[in-house]
Amino acid sequence: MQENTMSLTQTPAEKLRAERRQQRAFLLRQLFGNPGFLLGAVIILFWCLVAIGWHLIVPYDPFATGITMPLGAPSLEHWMGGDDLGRDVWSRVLAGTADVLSIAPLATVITISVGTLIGVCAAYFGGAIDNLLMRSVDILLVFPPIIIALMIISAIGASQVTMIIIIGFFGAPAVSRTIRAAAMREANRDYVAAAVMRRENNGYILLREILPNIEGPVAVETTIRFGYAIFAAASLSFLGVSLQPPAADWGLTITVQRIYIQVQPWSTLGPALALASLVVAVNLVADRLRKVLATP
Amino acid sequence: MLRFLLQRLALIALMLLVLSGLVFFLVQLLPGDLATNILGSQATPEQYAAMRAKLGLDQPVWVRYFTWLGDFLRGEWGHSVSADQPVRDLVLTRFGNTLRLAGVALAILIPSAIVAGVLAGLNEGKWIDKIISVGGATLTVIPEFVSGIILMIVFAVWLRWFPISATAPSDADFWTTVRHLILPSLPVVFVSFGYIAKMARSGTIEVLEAPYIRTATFKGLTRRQIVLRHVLRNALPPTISLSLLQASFIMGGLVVVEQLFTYPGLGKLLLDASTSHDVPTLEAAVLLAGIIVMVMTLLADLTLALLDPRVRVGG
Amino acid sequence: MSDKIDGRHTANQLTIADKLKNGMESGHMSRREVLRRGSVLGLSMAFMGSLFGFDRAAFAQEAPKEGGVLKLGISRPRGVVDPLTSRSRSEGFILKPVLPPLGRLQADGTLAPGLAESWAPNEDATVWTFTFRPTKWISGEAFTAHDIAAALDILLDPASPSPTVSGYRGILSHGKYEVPDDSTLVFHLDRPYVDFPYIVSYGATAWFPKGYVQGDFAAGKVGGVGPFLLKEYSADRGATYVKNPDYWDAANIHLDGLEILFFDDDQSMALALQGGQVDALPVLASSAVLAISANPDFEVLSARSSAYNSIRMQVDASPFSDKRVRQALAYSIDRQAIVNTIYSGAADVGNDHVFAPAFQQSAAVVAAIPQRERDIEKAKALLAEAGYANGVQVTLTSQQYADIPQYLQMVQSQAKEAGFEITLDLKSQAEYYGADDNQPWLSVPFGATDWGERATPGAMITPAYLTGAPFNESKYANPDFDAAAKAFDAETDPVKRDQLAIDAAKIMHEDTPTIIGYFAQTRRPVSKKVKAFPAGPASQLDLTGTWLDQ
Repeated sequence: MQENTMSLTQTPAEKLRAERRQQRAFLLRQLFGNPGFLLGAVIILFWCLVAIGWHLIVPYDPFATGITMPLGAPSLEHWMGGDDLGRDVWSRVLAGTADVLSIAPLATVITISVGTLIGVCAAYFGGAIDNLLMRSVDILLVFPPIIIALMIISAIGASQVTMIIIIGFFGAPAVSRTIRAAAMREANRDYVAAAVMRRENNGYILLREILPNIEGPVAVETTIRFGYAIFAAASLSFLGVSLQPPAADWGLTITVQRIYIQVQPWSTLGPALALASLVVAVNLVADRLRKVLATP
Repeated sequence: MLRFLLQRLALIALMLLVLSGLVFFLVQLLPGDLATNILGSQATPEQYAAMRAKLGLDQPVWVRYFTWLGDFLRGEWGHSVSADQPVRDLVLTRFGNTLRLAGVALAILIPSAIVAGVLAGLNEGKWIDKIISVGGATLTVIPEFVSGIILMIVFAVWLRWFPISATAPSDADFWTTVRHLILPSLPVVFVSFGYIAKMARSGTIEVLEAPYIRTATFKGLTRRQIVLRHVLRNALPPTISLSLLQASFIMGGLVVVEQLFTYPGLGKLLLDASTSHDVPTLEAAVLLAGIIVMVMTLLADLTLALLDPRVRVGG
Repeated sequence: MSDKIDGRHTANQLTIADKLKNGMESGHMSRREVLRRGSVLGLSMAFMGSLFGFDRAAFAQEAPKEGGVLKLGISRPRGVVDPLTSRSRSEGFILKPVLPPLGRLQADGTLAPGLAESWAPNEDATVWTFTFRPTKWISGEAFTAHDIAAALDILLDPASPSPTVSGYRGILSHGKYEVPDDSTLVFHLDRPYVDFPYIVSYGATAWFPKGYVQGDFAAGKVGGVGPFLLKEYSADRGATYVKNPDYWDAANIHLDGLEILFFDDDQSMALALQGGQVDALPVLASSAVLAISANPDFEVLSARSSAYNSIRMQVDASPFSDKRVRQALAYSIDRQAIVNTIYSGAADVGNDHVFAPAFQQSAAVVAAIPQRERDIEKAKALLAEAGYANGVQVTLTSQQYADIPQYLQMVQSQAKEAGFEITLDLKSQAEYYGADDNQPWLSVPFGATDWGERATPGAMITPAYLTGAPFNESKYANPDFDAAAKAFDAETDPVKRDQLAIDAAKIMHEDTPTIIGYFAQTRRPVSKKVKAFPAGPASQLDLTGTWLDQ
């Protein structure tokens, strides 16, 4: 009797788990079999490793002035030449990775958590709550984010934490729209109705029933938003409201070195190309993920 | 329809109130002091006091906000304390410059993105579609200042095809002015190109799958005629409406591009006003930027509603 | 030497001339210094030429061509330019072609006659008599000493919006001047001040006629006494001028006109010069100069300046309350490397005192005080003696302005080797200067401030380093220094004055309330077709003798 019940309840669960394992393996093959995805993933991995371990691989101290000729041209010793203070540009490009990648991932976590929460709640509760949430999202989406972020930062001052929070929250409205659409489809399914019948509490239904079933759209949104977080963080530091010299941050470096482009273009081109390669890589990954997970 | 319009207008008014309040009170948090900013660090206490009274800095924040809001609605935008000239003249002059830049950007963006999108749609799944789709999506994610600096180095410093400065001499003719604005406008074009091309592409595909196209094909119309007669006519209007929704991105991009090319537009003014704590100028510039983005959004909403009655009914 | 030349000078001036002559003959002073010192005390060039045996005409090179309009680019001044509110260099550039200074300061530090034909001090330099040349305003009224007195009545009023008042503080008070006749003005100073003629010829101050009303300048209602007449002025674009045929020295004004265009930033200004939109830039940041100096069509003129960036340490706050820590930092920086990197060599190395190479006493001071060179061992030893053998962590607060971030990053990197872990906190300029109770530039224990060009060492010391001075940001207080600095301002004897300069500089150098790493030169990029363009000083633009080779 006991055994019987167990096998009855376990078999579908085991089956489900096995099915998911198979699905995962299939997905991974689908993803990594694609050269674009592979390239993107390798580039992201490269920059992540650099962000963590740049101390170990920089050829010169990126903050030491007078290492090479001020605004010196690229050479064998200094691949990208020197900046205005005679620092090694290539070393600074490597060190700058840490600044970009310390803000963007955490901001993405906030974006996705807040956006998903709003989206799922709007879809599940519907009615007045949905209306209120989505109208607020409409309003937030209309304001040019860069302008508002600029004002908030210049008013309250920039620190790593405020940057993460601001960039994090500004991404959330767009996420909540996509997630709401995905969650709407799930909320109308039988298993949700069944859970409601079982009188499960709302938190359980949202987290344990709906959320696992929209992990595809969440994964796609996460990659897309990661790209936007890099975009936003870099743009704000380019506008000079975020980090301070001597930070090797890419956006800041471009602002500072821009005036020398006629003399030494590499001190701006270096960080510009690095940033471009990172955002393009993130986009390649996001693009393939979207296709494979077949989300809109 | 009227109800829809009124609803949207009320929403816009509310949003502007929120925006103006937000901006005004954020500005109060700015460190530093305008009087010092104008007088320099070595003025006498008497000079400071006189300057602060002149600027109205001795009044409470609430009073200043409502005074300002009332004045703004009456068309009196105040006096720019950092430029020492009427804010309205300053903001509108700079806005004119931004319009010129945005005009060049849109003149490049809309036709090229639509042509690319239609081409991609007509060749769905072929290599040309892939190049346009992947290329468009790639350009979208590159920050304006990154593509801008690369364009500047390659086309102005190395190849010397375009001038490095965005501002043409004051006596320049129309085409010279445009030539100066091409490099700065391209980064803005890049960011929105992918989105509009995608809209045009899916619009085209939708039209191609519609029953009347099949009928037209049966009737023996050539592909060229079908594209011109049906695809463009049916796919274009929603694409253009949807492009209006890019206004917010374009406005944000212009701030960055104007800073990169040191172009005296609304975005540069906004950034400068926020660093020099020029409250009236900052308020007016942000509000104007906000109004434009909202009007564009409203236009997009309205035209989409006209094109597709379901939107009206649905909310 | 004729009696006629002699007749213009007072007995007092002749005594000074005698001392200068002795100074030169004993090899104590160079010809250049003699000229500078003599000119400020009111000795005429012709008199000095005959007395010391050299001829100014010998300096003249090519024969100038007449005609042409010179185009200049400057950064856009704030608002409508007016002599009542003028405070920046840009405003001065716009005003002075029309409303010239009393004496025309030259790049070499000499003071040539301007509106004032001559001047002379009394024995202890407390009373100064200025004589003006006969000339006319465009209104047709004669220019008189009453005009200057009336202008001073307005400018020196403590509630006036003009910055002039702060430059005169403690030197000349409101109303302390008299007009014995139309061509003479007598100043009664608050304290003896040998460099007074510089004070009235410097800064952004432009003199204006009696009954002047704000806005008259922009409306083109004033002028006539300067080399040019204002033709058109727009607060947005710039100003155009035509030559004033009635100017007293019109023979030496070779240009037909002048055009000044406004720009928003250094980069666009540099681009405009390279694109031929303008012929010369009177002020350009060192970073923008770089791109131009590589271009053979342009020449970059340099002139010594007294402007400097002060890395000041509050002498009452740990760890800088210990003199050895301050000196250790001074020994840890490589001044020549900074000068070479940021300014391509166009700056003079500083020695932690304000007697800049632009000032007359510099040569004597430089000879007397050994230059501080980078000495990491010594810096480490000083730090260890002060109890920081394992190094010290400090935060350096400053501003994102001009070359300051570059300078501080180099200091940060160089001082690390001696054991200084410096964290930079670069605020916006508005935030760094602040207001009322919150003025970080005065209150932070460790900060870096830009001090603009001043005409005299006294004008540098008085506001910033005297005990209890209003802008004494390092809280420096040393009675010996105060005494030496005040005696310096009052001493007319050039040799004794040099000694006082050395005394004051030595004390400041030893106490090291601030690190003065360098004095950056004024850089003026000029198209090669512009000849005899003045190289400096930064705040002045005397176009006498300038011509265009077209």
